[in-house]
Amino acid sequence: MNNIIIPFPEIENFKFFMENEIDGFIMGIDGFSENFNYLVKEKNLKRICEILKEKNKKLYITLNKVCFNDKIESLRILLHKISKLHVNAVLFTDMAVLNIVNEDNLDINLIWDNTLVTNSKTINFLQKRGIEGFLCSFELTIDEYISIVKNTNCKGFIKLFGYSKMATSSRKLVSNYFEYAKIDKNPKRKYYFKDKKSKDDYIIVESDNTNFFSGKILNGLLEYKRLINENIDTTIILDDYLVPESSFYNVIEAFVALRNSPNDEDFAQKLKMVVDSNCYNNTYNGFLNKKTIFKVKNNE
Amino acid sequence: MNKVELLAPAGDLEKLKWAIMYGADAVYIGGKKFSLRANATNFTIEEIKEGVKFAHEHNAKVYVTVNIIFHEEDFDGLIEYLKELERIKVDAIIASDLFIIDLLKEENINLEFHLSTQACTLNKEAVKFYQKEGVKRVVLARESSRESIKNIIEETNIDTEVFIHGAMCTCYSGRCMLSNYMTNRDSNRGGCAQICRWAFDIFDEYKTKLNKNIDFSIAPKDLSLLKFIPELIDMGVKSFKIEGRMKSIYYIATLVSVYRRVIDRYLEEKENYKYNKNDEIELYRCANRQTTDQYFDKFPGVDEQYYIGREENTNQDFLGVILDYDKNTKEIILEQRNFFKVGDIINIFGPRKESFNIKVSYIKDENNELLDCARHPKEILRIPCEKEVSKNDLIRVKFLG
Repeated sequence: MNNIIIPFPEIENFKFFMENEIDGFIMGIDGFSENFNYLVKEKNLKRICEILKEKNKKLYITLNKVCFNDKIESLRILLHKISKLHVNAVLFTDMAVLNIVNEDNLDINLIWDNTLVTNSKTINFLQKRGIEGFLCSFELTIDEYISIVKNTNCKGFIKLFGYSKMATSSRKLVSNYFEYAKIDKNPKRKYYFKDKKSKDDYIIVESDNTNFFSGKILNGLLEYKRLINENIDTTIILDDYLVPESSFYNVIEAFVALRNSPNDEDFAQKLKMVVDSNCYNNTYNGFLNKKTIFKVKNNE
Repeated sequence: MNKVELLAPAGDLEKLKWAIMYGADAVYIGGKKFSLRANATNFTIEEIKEGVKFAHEHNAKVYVTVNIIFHEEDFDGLIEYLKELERIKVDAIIASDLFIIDLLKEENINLEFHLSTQACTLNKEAVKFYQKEGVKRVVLARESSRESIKNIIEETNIDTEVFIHGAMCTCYSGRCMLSNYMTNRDSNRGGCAQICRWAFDIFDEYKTKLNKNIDFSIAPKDLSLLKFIPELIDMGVKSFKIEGRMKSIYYIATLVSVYRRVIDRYLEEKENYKYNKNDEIELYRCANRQTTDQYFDKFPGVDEQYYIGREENTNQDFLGVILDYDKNTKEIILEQRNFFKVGDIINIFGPRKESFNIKVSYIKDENNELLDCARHPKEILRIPCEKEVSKNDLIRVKFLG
C-alpha cells in the first residue's frame, strides 16, 4: 500500500485536507520538533487526534529534534501522553525516545528518522529493539531505498517532495553573524546564503536551532511512480515547509493523481511538470538518482 | 585517584609513535577502509599491527575507527576486517553504525565497541540504550555541557569519552549533509569537505545582499577545556579526547605533552594545583587558532565563532626534530623544520620533562661547515647544547619567559 502523508496544517486549512485523498499527517510538537510551518501545542494534541480518527486519517508524530539532557524529563512526559492517544507511530531521531518507550513499556509504534538511516542492517538491528519503520536519509538514491525496503521487514518512509534539510546547528548562526557584523536586523526565520564559487543558493532558517536547506525543492514524482510500479510498499512524505501554500495544494493533487493512474508515462510526465511549474521550476531530483562520492582519493 | 585516559589522534604510524612517546595513554587511528577522514593517510593492516605492538610495549592502547555510516554497498569485507583487527589485538573499535554490535556477537569477534561521536549522544536515556546493548564507552557529542556530562556519568556510570581540544563541527555530528549537497562528497562516509569553514554571501527574502564588508561565516572556534581538566577528572570522565587525525607531529606532541602535564600535575597534588597560563599559551602557539570552551560552561554565542576567514597563520614555531645527542662534542643533531639563526634563543621540550631554553651560538651542517642560519627544511644540522637531550625531543621558538 502506498500512503501519502503531509505535514499537519494550520487550523484554517484543516477542512480542505480532511476531505483530500491524502492518507494522513505528520505532525510536529512544539519544543520537540522542527521544520514545520505549524507546530502543535501539547495541549491540543488530544482534540486533533479525535478529529483525525473520525475522518479515518493516519497520524504520525515526529520528534525530530536532538534531545539535550535537561529536556529528558519533559520528553518522557510527552511520550506518556502520546502513548494514550494511539497515534499511528512516532518518528524519532534520538535514541532516548526508543529507550524511554521500551523502559516505560509505552504503547507507541516507532519509526526511526535520522541521517544515519542508510542501510538495512541497522534498521533490522533496531527492529529487534522495537522499531517498526524507518524514514530514510535524504542522500540515498531511489535504488538504495528500494534495496533497503527489500532487505527489511520494516515499513519504509521516504520524502519525495519539499526542501531537503542539509544540516542542523544548535548555534544561533544568523543572530551571531548579525551581532558581529553589526547588521541592524532582527533575524527573521528565512535567509538565503550563496556559495561564492558555485553561486548556488541555499536556505538558512534560524529558530531554536539553525537549519540549512537545499535551495531547490525536491520533486520525486517520477520516483513515486517507480515505487508504485515496482510494488514497493512505502509511505511518502510531501513536505510543505517553506513552500508557498497555494503551490502545495496542486502538488498534493498531482501526487494523488499519479497514484490513481500510475501506469501512464505521459500523464506522469505532465504531472511532474505541474509540480515543477507550481514551484517556479525551482525543483531538482536531490540524490534520488545521483550517488554521492566519499573517497576523494583512492588510498587503498 | 580517578584514572583518566589521554586519547590522542594519529593519522599515520609516525604520529602514533609520537603521540605515545609524548604521553598519550591511547591513540585512535583509521584504517584504509570503513573510516571517516578518507583524505588522511590512514593505516594498512600491517601498520595497525605495528602500531598496536608499539603501543602495547609502551602500555598504551589503540582504538580503530570503523565509523562510516554504511550504505548497502559498503558491507563487503567488513567481517574479515573486524576479525583481522581482533587478531592483531586492537583494543577497541570506534563505530557509529549499530548493526556492528550484533555483528561482533554473531561472528564471535571479541572487540570492545566505543560509540562514535557521530551518533550525537547528548542525553542519559540514549546512553542507557547503548549501555544495554553492551557499548563499553560513549563518545559524547561536542555540544555537551558540564551539567549533562556530570548527570550522564552519575546516572549511567558508563565510560565516557569527552573532547577536550580541537576543531568543532558547526552542526550536529552525523547529521550534517552540507558536504553532500554542496560538493557531492558524503560526509558520513569520509568525504566531508568542511563546508562550515567556507565564507558565504547572505541575502534576505528580497535577495538583498546583507554582507557588505564581512562574509557570512558559520565556522566555530576550536575547543579547549584546559581550564576544566581538574573538574572533568573529578566528574569521572574516563577519557579525554584530542581531535585532529590530520594534524602534524609537532601539534600532537605539543598538545599531548601539555595535557599530560596538566593531568599529572592535578592527580599528583590536587590540593596545590594551580592553573598555569603558560600551558594555555603553549597550546595557542601550537595551533594558531583561537579556542573557547564552547558548550561546556555556557551556550556558545557570538564569541565562539570565526567571522573573517579562518584567522590563523602558518605556524613557524616548530624548528626541528632532535635525531641524536653527541655526548663528546655536546652537540644536538637535528632535522630542521623552520628557519632559525645564530643568536636565536630556542626552546627544547620532550616527553614528560620540563622544557628549557638555549641560545644558538653556532650552526653546523653535515660537512661541519658553519652556517649563519638554518634555512633548508629537512637539513641535518648540529648546534651546541651543554644539557643532554634525547632523540625525539623537539625544538621550537622560545615564546615563554
